[in-house]
Amino acid sequence: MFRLAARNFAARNINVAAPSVVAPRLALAARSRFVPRAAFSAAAGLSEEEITTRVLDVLKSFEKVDSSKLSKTAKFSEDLGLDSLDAVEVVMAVEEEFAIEIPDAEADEITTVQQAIDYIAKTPAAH
Amino acid sequence: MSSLPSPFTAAHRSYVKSLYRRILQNELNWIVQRDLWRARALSIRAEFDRNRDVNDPRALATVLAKAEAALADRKHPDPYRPPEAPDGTKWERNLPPPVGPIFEHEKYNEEHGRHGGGH
Repeated sequence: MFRLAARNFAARNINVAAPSVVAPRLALAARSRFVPRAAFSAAAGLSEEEITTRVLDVLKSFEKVDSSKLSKTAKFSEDLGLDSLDAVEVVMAVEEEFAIEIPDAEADEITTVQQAIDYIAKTPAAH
Repeated sequence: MSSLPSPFTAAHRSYVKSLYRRILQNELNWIVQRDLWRARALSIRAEFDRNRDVNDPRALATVLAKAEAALADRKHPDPYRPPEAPDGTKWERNLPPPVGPIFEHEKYNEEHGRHGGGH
């Protein structure tokens, strides 16, 4: 804390001294050196469409899934013809796509594409 | 194994799904390269499919116990954790500051008959 205070004090002194010592053009050049070159701010969360397209892309990559039957409202077992172990693989692929971990109990409940989308939408850690 | 759920129930189904998931994830901890992992996953799937028609509860219990033992034997000592999951590298970092009404000390002191300037 004291070191910070000392630095602030020193910085203020330099600021006071600068106009009288340094020529204006030089001062400008010194200042322009600190122009930030990249913004490190985080992007906003995932949008609904983005989640939908990415989940559907994950499902498209499964060879057992008929991509013509693929839609947002499709159920894994009835519409896509996946058995329960395939559904486990789908959930694991979705987990990997969004870099999250879905607990066992909640992974069990995901049986439709819409449920997967809803789960991702309510998970803040999904990327 | 008396702790296993009885076969052909929803509990049994979800138990087998969980077992499959745990085995696949454990395999993923050992083998990071996805194409190599895929081959292992296919062989695991083949093993599950081979025992698909085991209907005898006793035989089923043996099969499941064997699978559990194999999983426990091959358990990864340092499994992968997603960064923001509990125990991940980003777990509980950059917590959002508490957002709420500011505690008004002066008002509190007035209401409770305390006066400023210490005791």
